Amino acid sequence: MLYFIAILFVTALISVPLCRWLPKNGGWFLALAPAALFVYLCDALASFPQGVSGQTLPWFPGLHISLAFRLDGLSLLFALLISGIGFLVALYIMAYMSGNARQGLFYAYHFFFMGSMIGVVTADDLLLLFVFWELTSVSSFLLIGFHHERAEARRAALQSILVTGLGGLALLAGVLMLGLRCGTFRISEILLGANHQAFTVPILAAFLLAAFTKSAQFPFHFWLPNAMEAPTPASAYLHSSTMVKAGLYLLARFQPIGADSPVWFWSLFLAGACTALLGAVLALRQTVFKRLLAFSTVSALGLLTLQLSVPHPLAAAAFAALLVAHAFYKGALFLVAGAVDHAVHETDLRRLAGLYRLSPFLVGAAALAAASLAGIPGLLNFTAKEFLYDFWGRAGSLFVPATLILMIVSALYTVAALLILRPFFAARAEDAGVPLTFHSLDARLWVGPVVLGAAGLLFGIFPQRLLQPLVSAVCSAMLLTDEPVHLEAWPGWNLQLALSLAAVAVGVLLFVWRAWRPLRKARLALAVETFGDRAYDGALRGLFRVAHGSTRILQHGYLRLYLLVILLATVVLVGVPLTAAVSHLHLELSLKSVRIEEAFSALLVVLGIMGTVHSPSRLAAIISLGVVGYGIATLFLLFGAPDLSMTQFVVETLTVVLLVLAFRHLPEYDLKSRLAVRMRDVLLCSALGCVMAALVILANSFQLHPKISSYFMQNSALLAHGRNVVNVIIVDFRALDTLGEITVLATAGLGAWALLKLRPRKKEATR
Amino acid sequence: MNSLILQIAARYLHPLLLLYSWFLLLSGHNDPGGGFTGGLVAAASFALYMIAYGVEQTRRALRVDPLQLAGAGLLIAVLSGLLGMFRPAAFLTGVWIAAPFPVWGVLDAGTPMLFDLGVYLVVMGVSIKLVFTFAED
Amino acid sequence: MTLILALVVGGLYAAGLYMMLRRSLIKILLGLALLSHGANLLIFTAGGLTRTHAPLLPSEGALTLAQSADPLPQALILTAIVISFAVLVFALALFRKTYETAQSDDVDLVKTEDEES
Repeated sequence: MLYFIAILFVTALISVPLCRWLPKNGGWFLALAPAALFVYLCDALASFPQGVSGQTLPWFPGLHISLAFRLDGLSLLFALLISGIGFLVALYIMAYMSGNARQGLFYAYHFFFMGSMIGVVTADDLLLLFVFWELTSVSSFLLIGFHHERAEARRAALQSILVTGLGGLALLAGVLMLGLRCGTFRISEILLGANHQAFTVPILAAFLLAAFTKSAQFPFHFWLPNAMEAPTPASAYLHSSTMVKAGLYLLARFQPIGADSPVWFWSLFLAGACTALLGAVLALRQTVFKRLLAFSTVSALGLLTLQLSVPHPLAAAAFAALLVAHAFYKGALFLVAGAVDHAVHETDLRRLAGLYRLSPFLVGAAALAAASLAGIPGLLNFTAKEFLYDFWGRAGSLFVPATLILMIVSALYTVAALLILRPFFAARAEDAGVPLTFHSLDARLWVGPVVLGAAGLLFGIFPQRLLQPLVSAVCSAMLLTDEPVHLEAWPGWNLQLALSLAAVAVGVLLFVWRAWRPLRKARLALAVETFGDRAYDGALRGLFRVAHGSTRILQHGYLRLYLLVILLATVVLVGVPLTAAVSHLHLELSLKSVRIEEAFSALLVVLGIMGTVHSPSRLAAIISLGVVGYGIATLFLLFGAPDLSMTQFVVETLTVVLLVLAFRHLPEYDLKSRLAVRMRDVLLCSALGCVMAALVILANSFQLHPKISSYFMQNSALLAHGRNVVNVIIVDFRALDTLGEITVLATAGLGAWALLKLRPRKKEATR
Repeated sequence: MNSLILQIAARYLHPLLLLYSWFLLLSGHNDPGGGFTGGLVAAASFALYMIAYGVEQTRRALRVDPLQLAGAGLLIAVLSGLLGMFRPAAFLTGVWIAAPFPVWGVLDAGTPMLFDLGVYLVVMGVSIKLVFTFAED
Repeated sequence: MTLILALVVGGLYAAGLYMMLRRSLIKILLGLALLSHGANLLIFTAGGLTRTHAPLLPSEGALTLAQSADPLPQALILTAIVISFAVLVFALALFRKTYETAQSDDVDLVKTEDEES
């Protein structure tokens, strides 16, 4: 798998130059990458269950993190959808963005996203999963904000990355907790270990937050409809079949160990049900084609989440079938929406009419996909719904609520399907405004929808041949059993069929009665629709306010106060442990051992300090500072450091010269602080002085390690041909340090010179 | 500043101090001294000259831009480190040659001395540049 | 003598920080200089004081660590002296420029003007 991900990333890299070179047909070559992957995956599916393959490369061996990939049934299902639909979308982009100078860039983002998504569904390492998860967030940010010249696109992109980024952080916390708890980061080992206590409530909460934000579950559903700012191919790909399903993948992957907790069931059931109903109701309010599809996607994601709440072979089969069905019909519908927009430049469903004139293929694809959405028998979505009814029919007390939710959602889907189909067949628009102008339709714009629509039909008619292998592969991966699942296109006359047909009939009736009219006008519905957005805005505003406030408190800009904080912290953190160590100190209090010249030098330094601090004139202060330096130089000389002494003497001289030269231009100084402030500072600084003095004495009375200087003393003449050990250390033993230091020196000099000498060039003068 | 005493003193002290700074540099490997100290003494010598004669004249006496001195010093230091890599050995490994030299006896020279020359030039160049900068300001 | 030098180090730190807590740019600069002196002397004293030889090997024979001063802290301080000189001069240039721009050497006034612009 690593190779395929690498190929996709490389494809992303070469797509910009390739599209510049072949602006018309570059996409054919780029589409080869997902096509190859799709063929490979089909082959893997044919050889299933031997097809479970893994690949592991070391990454950070010291941390036991590896590039581990594993392709089991669940991964296969998702990877097939990602590569297959990715291939169709790649062809579609060629026509949709033809003539656009940024087509290559769009391809680059598309393949970048595809590679990340394949990584998410095949990673077998928790941290690797997290890395790819974040990459999908980043790449989808780029895709949603592709039209970055528009403020709405920028806002939508930012919103999506903030919401999914929040989930990403939660996922990081979750995988770290899970990995540390299980002692391994390998996902397959964690699942096979089947440690049912592995998912504690915090881990579970982190995973759920990650999945719910990514899959736009209530209450994080609001970012998905806004993300319709993305170019339509990206919407079709990200928001119908891939990215939003990453959250579902995460839930399905960890269902075996997560589902034991009642928290799992209730969160998934309630969030799924809320999302499904909310999305379906709000979808009818929409007048813009893509937004209607977006809300119905939110609803479908809710149904899928609901399906993951209980671990059961039938539920898993229903989940897989519904996932495939949704990817087919929603992908097709999004692509149709894009084609319509491309051909007539109108996105409002109320103003669209007579679209049957565009292309019979496009109309056929739209009809098939809409029929699947409505759940007409013979199409895949119908088969999937049968599973749902069948499963919930056996669920005991949950039968009534779950079936009710399903029926309501199905009826509303029927209305949505009819709303979508109306402009294709109606001669007159609901809101006839400016007459539409029809442009010719490139064949590559209807190939994708036709393939997806036909796939929905074929899979619906021959579920045993086409869907069966996928479903059983998913079941074996999710439930770790090989219980066979039977699929049939026509279940015969039974309760499920009656419920399905009843829902469709109710939907048709609602359409005839124009049930969406009051919804579009109701202020309550508007409030519900924009609730998430407003909460997001409020949270963002609050965050900014907190950031602003804390910055104002912490970054106040007073050097003194920063220093005071450091000073206090040092006095407390170093001083308190020091008081404990004081008893170990052996103070040589006798002054007999002090020689007169040493005492004199120390006195010189002290006098210099006092002069520097107390002097009322800056010249006197500078000279006092020089006295301090000379005193220290004398001390160096007295204690066996002639090199230091010389250097210190010269440096001090140069410093005094420079200070005098510079201070000519600075004002005389005066007392600026109040007496109380100065007294406080004197106290604090004296405390620090005591701490430092104690530290020096303490450092002198302990020797923790043998001195490495012996090595330098022994080898200086032998290895480095020098007898001045200090110099040998500087230019030979530790020459790299010295090289760094002279670089700093040169940089500081250059900086000081640039600060004073470089003026912004006056443009008028040079011209 | 036009002090005759200072000017005459500087005229005679300046070459002596420069000579002393070279001595410090060359003898630094075996006796107190070295690139840092030598470079500072050279800089101090030019500072003295500048106080006596002014910036312009000192700049003419120096002939090159002190920043170029510093850059050359950095370059020499890096190159001296690269020389050791031909052995092959790690960057900045010292390479020594002992060759017979007329009058002197045996010349014992190595890349660390070259490195020290780089240090000397950097310290000297930067210090002089700073003195000039503040004097002109 | 260690005790005396330790007290001197403490004095350098106290005075340096006290000066850095002032509002005048010049005093802050002088404080910085005192502080770097303090740090150098701290390393020197903490490395162990000895009145014996400098770490210069005789041309014949060897010299052990017990017979001479420790060369390692000296090497550290030697470079530190030159670096702190460079930093001090850089700060000097910075303050000079600040004063030129803000026409005040009071860091508080400089700050408010900075915020307004």
